[in-house]
Amino acid sequence: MLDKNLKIHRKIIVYAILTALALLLSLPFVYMLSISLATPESNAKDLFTIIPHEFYWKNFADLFSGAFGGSRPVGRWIMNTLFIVALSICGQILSCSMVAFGFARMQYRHKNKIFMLLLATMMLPGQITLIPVFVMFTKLGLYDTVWPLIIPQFFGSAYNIFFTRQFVTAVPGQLYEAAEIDGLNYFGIYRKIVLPLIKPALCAIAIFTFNHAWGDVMGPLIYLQDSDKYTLALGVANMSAEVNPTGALNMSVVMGLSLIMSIPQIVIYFVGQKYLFQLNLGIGNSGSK
Amino acid sequence: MSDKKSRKKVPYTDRAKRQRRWFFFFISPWLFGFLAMTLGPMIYSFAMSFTDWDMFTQMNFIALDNYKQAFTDSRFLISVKNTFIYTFMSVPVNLLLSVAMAYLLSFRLKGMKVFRTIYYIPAVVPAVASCVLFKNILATKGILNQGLALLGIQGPRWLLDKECVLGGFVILALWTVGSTMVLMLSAINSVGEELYESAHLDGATRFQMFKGITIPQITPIIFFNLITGIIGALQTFTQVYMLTDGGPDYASSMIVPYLYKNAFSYYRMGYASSMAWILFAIVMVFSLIVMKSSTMWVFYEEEVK
Amino acid sequence: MKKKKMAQVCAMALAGAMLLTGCGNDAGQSSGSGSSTAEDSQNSQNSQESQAPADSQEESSQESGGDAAADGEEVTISFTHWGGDGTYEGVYQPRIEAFMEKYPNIKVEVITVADDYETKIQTQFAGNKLPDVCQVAENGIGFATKGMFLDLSDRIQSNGIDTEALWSNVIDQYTYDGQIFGLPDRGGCTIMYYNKDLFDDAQIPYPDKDWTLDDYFDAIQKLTKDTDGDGVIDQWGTTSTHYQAIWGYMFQANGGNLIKDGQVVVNSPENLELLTKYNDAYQNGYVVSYEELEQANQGGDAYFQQGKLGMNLTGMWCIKGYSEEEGLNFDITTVPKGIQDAGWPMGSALTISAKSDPAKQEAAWTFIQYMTSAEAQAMLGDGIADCPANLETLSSDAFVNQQVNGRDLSLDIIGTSMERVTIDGLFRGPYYQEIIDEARNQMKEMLLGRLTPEQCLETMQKNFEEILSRY
Repeated sequence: MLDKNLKIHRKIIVYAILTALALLLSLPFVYMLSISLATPESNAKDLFTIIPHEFYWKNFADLFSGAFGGSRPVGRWIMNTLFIVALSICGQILSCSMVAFGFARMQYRHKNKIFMLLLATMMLPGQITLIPVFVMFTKLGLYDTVWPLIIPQFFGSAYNIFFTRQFVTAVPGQLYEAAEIDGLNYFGIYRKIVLPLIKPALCAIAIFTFNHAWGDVMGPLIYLQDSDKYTLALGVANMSAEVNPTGALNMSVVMGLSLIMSIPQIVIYFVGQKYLFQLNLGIGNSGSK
Repeated sequence: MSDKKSRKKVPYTDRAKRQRRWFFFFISPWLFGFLAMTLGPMIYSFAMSFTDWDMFTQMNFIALDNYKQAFTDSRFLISVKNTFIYTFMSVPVNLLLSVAMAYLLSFRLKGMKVFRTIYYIPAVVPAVASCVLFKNILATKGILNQGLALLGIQGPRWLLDKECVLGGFVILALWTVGSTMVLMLSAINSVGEELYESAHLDGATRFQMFKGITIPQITPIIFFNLITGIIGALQTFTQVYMLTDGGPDYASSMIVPYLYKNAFSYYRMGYASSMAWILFAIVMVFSLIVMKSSTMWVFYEEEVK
Repeated sequence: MKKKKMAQVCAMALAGAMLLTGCGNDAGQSSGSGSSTAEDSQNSQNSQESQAPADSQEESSQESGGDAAADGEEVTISFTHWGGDGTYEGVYQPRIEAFMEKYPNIKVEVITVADDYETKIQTQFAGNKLPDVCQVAENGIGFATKGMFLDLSDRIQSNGIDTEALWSNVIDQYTYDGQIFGLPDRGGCTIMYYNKDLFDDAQIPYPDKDWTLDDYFDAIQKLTKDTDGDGVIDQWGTTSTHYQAIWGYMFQANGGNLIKDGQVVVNSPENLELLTKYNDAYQNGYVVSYEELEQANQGGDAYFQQGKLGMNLTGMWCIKGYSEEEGLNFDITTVPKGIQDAGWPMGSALTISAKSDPAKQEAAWTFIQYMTSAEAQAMLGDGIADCPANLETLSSDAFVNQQVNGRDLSLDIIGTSMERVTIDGLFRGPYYQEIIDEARNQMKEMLLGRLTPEQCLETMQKNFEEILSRY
């Protein structure tokens, strides 16, 4: 947009709104930080303030010494997680882009019905299919392996497919016609025309898949048994799990670990922004019919 | 467009056949996964909903008893009601806020990268942490009410009053608006510059451009967020599970947490399955309504229906 | 031609679906077999085993578990418990290491489940992947009614284990239909912490084992104060909201029950009498309110640590944390008495999975026998890592006379409290969880002022009956 010509007073208004919202949204985050820096005494007594008034960095040092100095195979967990994350991202990008292209561009009489079917798979809560899916994977001999966490990613998730399809439909039709005239087959169109154009969407998928695979606790909890195969999120969940049966959590530990777990996600997003918000791809510029 | 018409008149042209083959080729990853991994468990859970299976002992076929039970179970009915209320409150607010935020963030000003990151951070905070956090924030003497007190407003007991507890959940949902916002922003940025330039030459104001160009151009993504937002809200689980466990007195009980409890704490897998399928039907109806309406307001580059 | 294609696709889809439903049904049936008694599955699985190990199995099952390891064959058993790394390191690790040293042929693989423990073990059970040894608590009875665990009664008898002497009534919590399905491992029940300084200030004599509920309700009033004179109460008698370990035991002590002999008996004069006092104490402000507690993640426990409570009724897990608090001058005692012995059990037991490989069952038995033995339980009690369930350990000099962070506490009351525990009808059916959820819900409604005690009990009676009718 033509923001270079933005008048100064408008700029101020925009900045003011942005800053106010940013403060509001980051307040809980600051609170998290404050809790994670509270001394053990304040922690036991639940004496927390929003703005950090204590800076007990030893909490973080303890987390790390507990994690890396101790008997926990944190290195293995990180490798396991990265393995799952990398394959999941590949799987999702590959399958979602293909499937989305199929749904958006190919013609078939029952396409919309099949698409409804795809959406329908999102509508049954996962809690109810947990057992049959688990039984299926154990019968395939994949219990206590990372594969039940990876394989489904190669079939694409309905959410990501739907999202990518919305992007592909926005690609101008003239581009296809031109490509067909140039003698490209449909796979060629997908690979040479569509894939480059929907990079932001794929980047979004990659970020979301990363977040999910990185932070997922339930999947690893159900499928993994051997602590050498744990993901980092599961290992961290074990580190912060409550000790007493009333469910009282050590707040500093929970918040500290949550902060540490979030950092890679934030970094990935910060770096990925460049691709995620790539401007003016030509999508939609024939919209002025 | 003419191609489309001719396709209808002459259905079995080579082109149509080729298109069909390619269609199945492209969707094959999903189709294979669906047939191999999703369909079985779906049918299985459907079959379960007609039994009294407890996950351990032999199951008995009990026909529609589970469904009849569900429609007389006051705790289930109130969960359905709460789920609806929550969905109707959180989805529209979430959409409006994410579009507004995305629009603000699409301005090309200095420091925008930082703002974009700050707005997104809440979306990556693990659910455990954000729920624990909001338990404190929404407490009667928590920071939200302290803030409201500064404005002279006496805040309610968010998590103790039956009338307010769903409002508390909406506030939590708003905090994590970041992931929707990212998609909106990505769509806004994909809108071609030329459109704005020509509108600008025509003397359009900023707001006119937003209304006349930005919004129509991103309707496919708004539509996507609307559908997935509805599906997601109707399946709300973690927040309820961690924040209130459905309390006080079922005022924040929702369908999925309630069926989860029935399945894994009360040994009623069969009953839980029937509730899941009732939820499925509800989600399906909502989705179909939104899909049908979409032809009226969603702008597709090329008609794909 | 097009139709043919469609038909092909349909056929393919159908075939896939049938294949999978077949697989699914199979799963249902195989897990359904869990309903058959443990003996059945043992037999059927034994027949598939090679004979040699089965024979040695027969032999060793007659003798004490120690011999199972003596025959030289390596066995790995899996054991699962809930909690985090801290739980494992504090409660289980020392004992498991000692066990593996003593029985070098048995290796124990530990699975610590941070969250959703019940979901995980049910899923594992359905997929035939349940670990050999599982920790269970109140939830155990529900699983046991579904045939999830082996009946240990015969083994207990043939090993001459005196359940009465070791665990008293607590064993009833792990008994279903006359069959014992678990050996109590971690113990504990509600105990009372009191702040000596606040008692001195209020000039109330310290509570002891003979304190009654009347003394308690008197004292909380006297202990409630506005210490800084700003018109707002900042010191309370106690914290007792909808936590069942407090009101639940009080009902029992006052001669009432929630469920007795399979009947809902919650709406009784005894319960109303008690509940009225309980509610009055809250409404009069002698108890920390929900509004105050909401922000505290440790609930009332943190308030006691801050020195703001005269008493705190909870499990013994607070002993360690409180004793680290320098300014906190406290001791522990039994919970106040009513007209009959009562206590709310908070322990857990170790069970053997009904689907455990027969070749491993004996090793599993050796393991849980060791874990609950005096030798291992002494390790558990040392430094109050957790509360041993073994009554002999609880009354041993080593346990009673130990110092906790340099303090002498009345640790002898833990054994006394445990002996007072009675397991009523509530704990004896699969409905435990649902009843407790509903009871907590109605209690909270009452305390928040939306129900009178009468209405609360009436609603509970009605809803409990409906719940029970569904099991």
